[in-house]
Amino acid sequence: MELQNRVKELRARFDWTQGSLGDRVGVTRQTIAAIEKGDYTPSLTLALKICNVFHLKMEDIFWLTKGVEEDE
Amino acid sequence: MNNIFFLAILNIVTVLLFGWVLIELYDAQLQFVEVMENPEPPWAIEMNAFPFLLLFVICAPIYIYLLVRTKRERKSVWKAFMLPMEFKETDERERMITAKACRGSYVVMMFAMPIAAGLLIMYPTIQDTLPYYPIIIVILLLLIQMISYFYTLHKNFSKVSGL
Repeated sequence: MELQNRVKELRARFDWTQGSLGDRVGVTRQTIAAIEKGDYTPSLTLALKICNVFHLKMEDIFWLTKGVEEDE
Repeated sequence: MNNIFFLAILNIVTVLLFGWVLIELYDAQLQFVEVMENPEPPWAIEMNAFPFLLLFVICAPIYIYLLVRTKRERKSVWKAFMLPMEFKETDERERMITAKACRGSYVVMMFAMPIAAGLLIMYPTIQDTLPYYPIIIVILLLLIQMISYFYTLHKNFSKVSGL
């Protein structure tokens, strides 16, 4: 299972940079970039913070798709 | 990324210089033992000051600069002094990468330590030609730990870079 997200799209809609979103949720710009690319799976707390700043539910931003999960 | 590479080089150079300083001090200690055995003057202890100079002139100012910068990032003098500068812990992703690097380093050390302990068995046979052999082994262990840490850190930063 692979975690997909709409962070990039929502960020563009809100006209926020990766840095400004990072500041809002308390992470670095690189972490936001990694989440958008799907390189990094955020913790539940961070995912909830992202949902909170976009005023959306978890399932509206993050969802799972079937795929090869790369661990390690 | 460049910061990690720079820190890796700086740490390795510092450890090598520190090892050289220890070897010089060990040599001085050997001379001191000879003096103690025969305290009749005149006697002298000779020591190469070059590694000390290199350590204090090159590494010390860079470390002081990095400490000041780290203090600003970590917002705590205690954390800046007590935690290695190569620990990246700004957010959860960096903490995860640091944790993976520590894990990698631990695994490498788990194999390196018994090998190093085994290598120390050879000490009596090479004691005369290489009296500071244990210092070399300990410095090698430090280098192995650092290199494995930086290698894993670099690998994970490239993998979860977001760039």
